[in-house]
Amino acid sequence: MENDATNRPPEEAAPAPTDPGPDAGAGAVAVAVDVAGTVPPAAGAGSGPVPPVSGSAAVPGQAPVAPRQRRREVGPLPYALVVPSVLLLVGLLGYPLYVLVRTSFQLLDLRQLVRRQTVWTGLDNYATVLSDSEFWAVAVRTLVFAAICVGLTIGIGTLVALLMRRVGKGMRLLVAAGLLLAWATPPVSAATVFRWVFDEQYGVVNWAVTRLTPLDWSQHSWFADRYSAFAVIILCVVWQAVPFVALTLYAALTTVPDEVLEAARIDGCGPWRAFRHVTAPMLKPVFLILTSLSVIWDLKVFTQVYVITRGGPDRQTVLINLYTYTQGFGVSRFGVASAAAVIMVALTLLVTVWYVRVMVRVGEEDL
Amino acid sequence: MHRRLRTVAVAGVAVALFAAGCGGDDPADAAAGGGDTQAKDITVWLMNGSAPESVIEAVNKDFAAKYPDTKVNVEIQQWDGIQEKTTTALAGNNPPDVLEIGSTLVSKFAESGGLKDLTGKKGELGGDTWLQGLTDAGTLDGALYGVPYYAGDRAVLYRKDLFAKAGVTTLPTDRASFVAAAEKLQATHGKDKQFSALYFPGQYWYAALPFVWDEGGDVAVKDGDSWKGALDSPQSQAGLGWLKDVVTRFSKAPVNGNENDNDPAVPLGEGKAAMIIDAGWKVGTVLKAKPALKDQIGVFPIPGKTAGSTAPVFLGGSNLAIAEGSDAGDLAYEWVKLLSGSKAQTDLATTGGVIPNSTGLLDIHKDDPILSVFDAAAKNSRSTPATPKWANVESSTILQDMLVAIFSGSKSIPDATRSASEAITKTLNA
Repeated sequence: MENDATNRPPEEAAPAPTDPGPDAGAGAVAVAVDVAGTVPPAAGAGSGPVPPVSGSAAVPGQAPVAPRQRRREVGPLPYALVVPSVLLLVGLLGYPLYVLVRTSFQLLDLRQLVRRQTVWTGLDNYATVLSDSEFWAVAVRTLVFAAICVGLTIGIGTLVALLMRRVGKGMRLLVAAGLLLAWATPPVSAATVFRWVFDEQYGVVNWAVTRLTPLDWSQHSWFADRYSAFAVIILCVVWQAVPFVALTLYAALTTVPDEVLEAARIDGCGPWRAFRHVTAPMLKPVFLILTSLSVIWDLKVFTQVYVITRGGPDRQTVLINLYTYTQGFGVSRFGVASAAAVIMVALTLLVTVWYVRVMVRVGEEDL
Repeated sequence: MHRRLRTVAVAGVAVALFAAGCGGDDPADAAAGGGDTQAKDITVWLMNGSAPESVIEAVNKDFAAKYPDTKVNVEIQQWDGIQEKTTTALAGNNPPDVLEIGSTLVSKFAESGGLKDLTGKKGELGGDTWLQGLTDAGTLDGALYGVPYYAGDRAVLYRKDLFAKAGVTTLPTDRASFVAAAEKLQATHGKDKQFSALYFPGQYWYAALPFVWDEGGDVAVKDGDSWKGALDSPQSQAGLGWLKDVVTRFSKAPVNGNENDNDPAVPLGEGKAAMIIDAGWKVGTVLKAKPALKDQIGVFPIPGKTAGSTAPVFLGGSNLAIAEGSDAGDLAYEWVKLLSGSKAQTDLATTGGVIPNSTGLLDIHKDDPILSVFDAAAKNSRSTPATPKWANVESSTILQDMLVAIFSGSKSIPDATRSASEAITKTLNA
């Protein structure tokens, strides 16, 4: 499965909030989740093609001038230019979403799938999902998981970006190259490597701990306990999510004028206060976009869980997309799986819309 | 003139559309009409480890002699995730023509309508000498969908050299002497932190069920028209309790691991395990990696509770099926006929080390000290509940989750078996 939290198409480094990207081709269940992914950034980015890294919204004196004059310039050309993207979106995201929603109202088990039968069941699938206690446990778990991943990703990403501003050119190139390599690793490969690194018998972590500390971890099982299993999954997800955040924030940091920071320093700001009260507010739009993107990406993590634990031990690391996958491909109840996926899309939209609105409001108050 | 031209044009378009429609919609009809003289490629899905290459090559050679214009594409599939893959393939427009399907999964795919009904061919294929267990597995509501391919069961493979060094001179004949042997082995070789007297990955349910059955327990029992999970019965719990004790004391295999990712044959070959519970063909896997161990691998049946008894084993195996949507059903049938026929089966039983599909060939291993043990053990064998819904128990990993919970201690045996039983009851009656 292609879509997952860290499979970030490189184009999204540039602000292309509606890029359907390589995610779009995956099956209906998977793609539909992406639809949510493409909406909020548009909302967050405000008026389309303004690069979020410019931080222009925060810089005084650069507010858009003479809106009336601009409006006059708008002819049919922009609409013509936007048509291909819209068609692509409708075809690659709209249609699968339509199929997903339609399927969620059907009884579609293996028999109906193979025999191409259409059996409408109304809201039965939704009733099945919503009355499944595992679904609720999984939904809550997914939210907590995403919150932890987003926090760590943004936090570590910010620190790395700040670090890159301070170190010399050679070191900066080295860090950037490392980030790009981590980012470029296919998630399936990365997850497989992480599983091996933490293998209880042949893993390098257990070997190192046993060699370097008095502890004997030669048979320590990372995946027998849900917390340590989750720790490995989170590490893997965050490891691949940090580069995008770090590089974007680094680019944004370069737009913060030195004079402003210098003025803050002269006024007696330490580094922490300078960051807290000068840099951070200026970068608020970037943080906003990065956070909402991360929320969406981390809500739909699939690959890492599937490869590293496959939901184990005892289904305690099942996240919502793996739940959907098991319902669909595992026990061949594609209607039920679609209903779960539709709920997931709705959930993602809700969380993101709410989050973006709060952030925008906070941003406006501060300005 | 003008009008006639238009009529011709319309007719032409109509013919073109009709032809296109035919070609796209139902190629199976065209193939059936044309018979097997038509040159077509056939695609065959076989499972990893099922047949040695030499057997398949011989079958393909015989097939090519009869149908020189047909190319056979044999694609080897992994067991891991095979249900998902088969589902997608059968629901698609272009499924493989021949599929090897694990015996416990045939009825699920037969029920879906994705497999061809081969009842009429049973006599021609030699169906009256087939192993009963495999025939039952390939049959749904009296119709045959899966041609018996081969059977397999498990026994204890052990390292003779490690046994000798630990002073274990007689092979275990019951579970008590099995534990005694394991204790000696662990005491002698346990200085190596990775050594397992018995290497048992936590999710290995095929190897766990014998102990459940040996105590008189079962996975599920039929109660009228419905099924009821039975892993929480006192008998099942007793078997699992014994196994938990053994696994905790003697196995260093990953508790959350499975027998595919953590192939027990590897530690056995490396001397990190003295015993594993596995299939007969795994001897070949070990010897391929470590030819020097030629005389050091031995086998004995999984011991039972009472002295001299053996535990009932899980009789697995595979069937060969033809996809309903195959566009070369006749050719596919001819290929299946060759692989399930006595020539290929003899070959498979000798070089592949599996139990052949026919009772007529059961004597084939009688001089082989290893394979004859597996054949004998198969006489006391059981299988999973005979219902198309069983496959869903496998794919939702209910047994695996239960075992991991028990071995890791995250749930007590009563709790783990109760929730597994409830899940099985729910799944089988869904």
